[in-house]
Amino acid sequence: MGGLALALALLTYGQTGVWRSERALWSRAHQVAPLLPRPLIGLAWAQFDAGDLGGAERTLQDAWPLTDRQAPSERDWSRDAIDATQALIWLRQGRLYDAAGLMAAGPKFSERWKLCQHFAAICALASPSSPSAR
Amino acid sequence: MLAAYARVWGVGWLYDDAGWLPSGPFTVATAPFAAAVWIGGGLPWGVHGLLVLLHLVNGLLLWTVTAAWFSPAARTLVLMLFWLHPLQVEGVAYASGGVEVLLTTYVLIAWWASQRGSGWWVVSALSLCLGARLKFSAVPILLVVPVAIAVARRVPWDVLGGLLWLGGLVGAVIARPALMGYAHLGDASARLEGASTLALAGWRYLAFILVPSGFSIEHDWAAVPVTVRLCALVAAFGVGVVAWGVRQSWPALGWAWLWIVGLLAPRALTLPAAPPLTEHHTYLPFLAIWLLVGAAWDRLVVHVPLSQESYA
Repeated sequence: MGGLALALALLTYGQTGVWRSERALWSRAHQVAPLLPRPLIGLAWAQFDAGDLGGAERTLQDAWPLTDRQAPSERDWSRDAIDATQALIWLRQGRLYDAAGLMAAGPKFSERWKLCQHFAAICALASPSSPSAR
Repeated sequence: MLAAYARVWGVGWLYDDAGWLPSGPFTVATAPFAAAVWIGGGLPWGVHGLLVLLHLVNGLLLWTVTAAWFSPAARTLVLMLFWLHPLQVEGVAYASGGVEVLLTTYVLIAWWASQRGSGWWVVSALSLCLGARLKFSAVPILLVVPVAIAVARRVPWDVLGGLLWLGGLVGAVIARPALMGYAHLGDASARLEGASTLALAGWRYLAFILVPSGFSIEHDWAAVPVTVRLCALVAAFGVGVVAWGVRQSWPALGWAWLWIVGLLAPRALTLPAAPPLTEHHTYLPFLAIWLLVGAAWDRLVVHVPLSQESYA
């Protein structure tokens, strides 16, 4: 029984390493479920927080096609999360009009809509010619 | 156990954590989280320290309440699995998942208090009330089990204590507006899909106990064919049938099935879009699995004669 306890303890110690950061958490999730968009969205968030805007954009581009196989409600959530994250990346890059168009296109109570409430002045820049939902 | 979870102290706010930690809002039931946030100065180590402490306490409570049922070796096995199996990591390392850990603490306190006799029934009732207010989906089983235990043990009701117990739970139920979640029972196809996916997840996490590999905060249940998910649901009911059949010779299996199904079924039956079952949601339900392993140990190793077995 002592050997079993040691083995379980080592496995548990190893598993706690997955929780050491968002990047580790979502990298692991993507490894287990490579066809789900949510791990990639989480990974993009981790890259965004770390300042890796280019990496975050590429990760979001990888996530978008995976939403096609989701159920409608999950697909809507995923695509909204992707667009909201993309809008924040554009904001960080200074592409205010592009970000405004993407945020303004979000339906009420969506993540993009919430961003619009937070960045109301920037959202007001949105025009019919700005990028909107894909 | 503390060494195995040593790295948890340094974990930050992840995923849903920032949505309600560290600013709250907190209720009476989640007061320990509020205290942990205050002690940690709003930093994550306070909450993570609380969860490691609760996991430790839960194990000690489990050790105590199993004294009446299991041999020392079986109790040690149960405690070891509960404390050290990697399936428990998400509940302890993920701050938002710690709600399950806190719920387990309330339930174990109630169990421990009810074992100590009539004077402790108030503590038991209060603990179950806090558990019911913390997580409404646990309410059905928290209402059913006290009555079932009293009937199964054929003990005379301590009327005052029993009324306090049930009255406290009913009060917590009535006062909880989240019961409106049960209004979504209407969509049968959605409920069936939710239930079959839930059953699949349950079997997958059971498999993790034997083969502890593939843990993740996300699992792709939709990738599994519908027929397989339905088979998982049928198999789950099948276990219940088997448990009913062996209820005289091994009642532990029936109690374990009732506990797990009672705690997990509301997730599929009540919410409009049944949320996926993640690993931390197994923390309280799979208490029955660890206890079942202990019971099996005594059955197989100690060879306790059938007539001498007694389970609540």
